[in-house]
Amino acid sequence: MPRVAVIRFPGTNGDLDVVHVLRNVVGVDTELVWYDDYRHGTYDAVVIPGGFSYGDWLRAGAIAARSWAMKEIIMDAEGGIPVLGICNGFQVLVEAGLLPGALLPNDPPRFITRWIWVRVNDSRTPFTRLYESNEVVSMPIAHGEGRYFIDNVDEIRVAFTYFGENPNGSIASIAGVANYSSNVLGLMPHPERSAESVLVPRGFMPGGFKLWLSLRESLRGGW
Amino acid sequence: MSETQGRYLVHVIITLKGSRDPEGETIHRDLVIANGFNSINRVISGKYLGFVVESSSESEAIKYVKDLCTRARIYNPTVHKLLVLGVEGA
Repeated sequence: MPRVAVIRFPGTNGDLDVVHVLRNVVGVDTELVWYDDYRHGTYDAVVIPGGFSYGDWLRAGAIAARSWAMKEIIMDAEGGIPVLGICNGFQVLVEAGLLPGALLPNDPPRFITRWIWVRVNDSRTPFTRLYESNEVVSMPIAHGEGRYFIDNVDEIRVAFTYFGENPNGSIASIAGVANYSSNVLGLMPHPERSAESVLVPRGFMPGGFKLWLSLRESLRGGW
Repeated sequence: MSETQGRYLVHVIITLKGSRDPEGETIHRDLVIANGFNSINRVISGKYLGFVVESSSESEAIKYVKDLCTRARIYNPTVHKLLVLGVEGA
């Protein structure tokens, strides 16, 4: 049975939400792994959840990205294992070089936490395959450093864009990016907080559910 | 000829390049201009780090710190530039 590792760095706080959704909502064998205990070749997928790894010191994700655990995760990513980074996890993946670009302090410069709408631009990754092409779904965001920036937008594979308004000043309204091998995906919105209708405020929908379902189907049947 | 090791403090600062700097813009607009300092055209925000390093000379100390900052990705070359502000004995 496929097994997913959910990584906990010092300062990660979205880990238990991810574990809950994987185990109890989509029924995937999931293990919460302290970052120092991660070994490559052990798991079938990796999720780096949100939070404030190393207190966001230096830059969000910068210190975790240089950890020994990330070297192990990079080995797995290069071997084709699906790796998902949510919020601070996305920042870690970008800082580690697994995804291109950078995540800068928001513009306007403040922490934002609310529900937004995102478009799924790429439904050919193991995390997005059950979404319709260009499907628009809602998820919450909660970040201070989510302004995606890259010199040339045409060179990257955009997976999610903010729909309607651009809450943090990201270039081309980019909310999530995938690598060209499809197995690494990072996004600022929180699919783990939008996988069950009980958590969804009026006027929105559980837009993260299909991401976890996609991962489960990808692990069971290939992608 | 053997060189003597000394201890140097290298001052570096990381600033943004090519993207907007909302922190600098906000300080400029709401603190500087709002208080009447109209001769200030722009404020640039950044992050300061100081490295105390054992080295044979000031220039070697700077070289060592620059290499460290690049290899450990103390700054992200996609969006940042690194400025060495100076070096002094420590």
